[in-house]
Amino acid sequence: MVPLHPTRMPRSGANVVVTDRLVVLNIAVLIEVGEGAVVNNTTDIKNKMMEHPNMAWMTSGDSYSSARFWHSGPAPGTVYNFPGGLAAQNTFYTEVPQGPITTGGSVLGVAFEGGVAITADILTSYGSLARFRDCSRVMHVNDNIILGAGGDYADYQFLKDVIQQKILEEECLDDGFSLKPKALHCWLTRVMYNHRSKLHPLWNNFIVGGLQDGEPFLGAVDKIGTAYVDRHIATGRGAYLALPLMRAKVEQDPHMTQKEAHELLFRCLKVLYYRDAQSYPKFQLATLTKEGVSVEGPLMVEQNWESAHMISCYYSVDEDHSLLTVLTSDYGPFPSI
Amino acid sequence: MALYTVADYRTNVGAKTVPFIPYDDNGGSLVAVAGDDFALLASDTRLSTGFSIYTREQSKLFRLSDTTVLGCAGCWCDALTLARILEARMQMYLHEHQRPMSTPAVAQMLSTLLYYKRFFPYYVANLLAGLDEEGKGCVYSYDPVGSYERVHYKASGSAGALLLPFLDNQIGYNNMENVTPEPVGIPKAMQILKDAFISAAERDIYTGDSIFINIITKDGIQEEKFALRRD
Repeated sequence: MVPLHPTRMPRSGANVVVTDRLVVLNIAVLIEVGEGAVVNNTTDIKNKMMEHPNMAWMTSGDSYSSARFWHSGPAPGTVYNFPGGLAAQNTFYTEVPQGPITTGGSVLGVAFEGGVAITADILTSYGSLARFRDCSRVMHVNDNIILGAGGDYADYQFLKDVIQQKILEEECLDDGFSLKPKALHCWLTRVMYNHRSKLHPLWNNFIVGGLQDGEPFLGAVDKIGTAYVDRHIATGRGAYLALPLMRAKVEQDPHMTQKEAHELLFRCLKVLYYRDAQSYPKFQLATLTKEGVSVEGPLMVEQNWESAHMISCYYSVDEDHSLLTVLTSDYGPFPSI
Repeated sequence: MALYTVADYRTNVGAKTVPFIPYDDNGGSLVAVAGDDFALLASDTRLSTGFSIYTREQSKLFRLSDTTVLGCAGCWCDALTLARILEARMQMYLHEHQRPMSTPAVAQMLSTLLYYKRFFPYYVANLLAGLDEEGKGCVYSYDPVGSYERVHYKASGSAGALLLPFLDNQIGYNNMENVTPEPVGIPKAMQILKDAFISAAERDIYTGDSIFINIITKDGIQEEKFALRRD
């Protein structure tokens, strides 16, 4: 879809370019009604076409518009609209670059002996505003695959529907085969890369986890199609805060049990909740082993604020002190307000 | 006193837009050496973005046939796509001609594929190494838009400029006096290559963790791994 910007509407000859296909119709109607006429919607265009099914493509020009150079070609001084082509789309409107709107934060994944676990909190934000507090970002794809998503939540929901449709169609075949994690990971890289190449990215980070040929698989894909496989993956702020913890653990103990993997993820989520302002204490945990998939939660991050009083400036109001003393830090008083 | 126009004011209104950049620099370095009857191609295994490391174990070498290996460093999503297209095109050639593509043929095709995307390029530094039709080692070096040449040795990628002068001196015998140049063999080439990477990893944050070396001879392709610093 091409986002239209109202201020870029042309003053005259306002034929609204709706889709690739309608561009052709627009040219036809313009020829007939003249450049100065306003055709606002597809119904108008269709009606005109119905009234004059045969003549719509030909004109000899009139006092408002010059004759076209050739059949459905450009009038003097105008640009030729290649039917269905890019030039036609961008004749009047430039594209507004899109960015993420409702966003999910970090996603964490680890592989352990005999399975994988992926976790993400259930918050989605509008910039720094914590907007929706019950958005699941882990997905049970099938009994081989789990998926975690960060970034734009709408883009994730769109892709989730596509993936669910794929799974459904595959189940309908009933041939005993099902999608495998490497296949979904590879497919996602192509979808993300193709969208980025059209400069219409799906603004997400994905972590795909699963079991393939008895081996745990954990792969990442980002919004431009960058893909890699590792035993531990963290996206978003988790890449800075959680990944070092995960690497330290895996280095010291490469054969984690499921319990250890869960404990590691809980610890990472706790650190994220303490230090990442756009995180949330409620999260979901997806675990996949050969026994099957479980998606638990919303669970709660274990938290402890007992040491908070030792941080100077932690209180905003204190009945025993004046505002100035409360606002005194280790580095001397703050400037008076 | 500065006066704010409506336009100035409006720029501060509304949600902050995030620009979309379709490329990323994921770093990585490549070294290739061609000998009389062999070719070496090595890449480091660090995949990074900015100051973070995605993974420490990503080989950047793609084994295209029994005699041809491609190394890609730069924008990793482009590298994956390019290698995939190249593999597909080589398979089509195989079925059409009943024989695998020769390394010089792959080299030409890679240039064509890169130039095809001249105005939205694959942001990738490529090195292609293998054996030519006569069994001689060959290395081809590319820029991102398809200009290429056959060389005896080459370094590319994020630490290319750090690695190449060392190869120039040790393999190309540049700036050496009273030395008789002699063709490089596998053991010496391997030693030079490892030393080059060790030094590059000291200075380039996008190069490190370990290297994968592919040794291409008429008997097939051997792979060797060598550890680098991981900080």
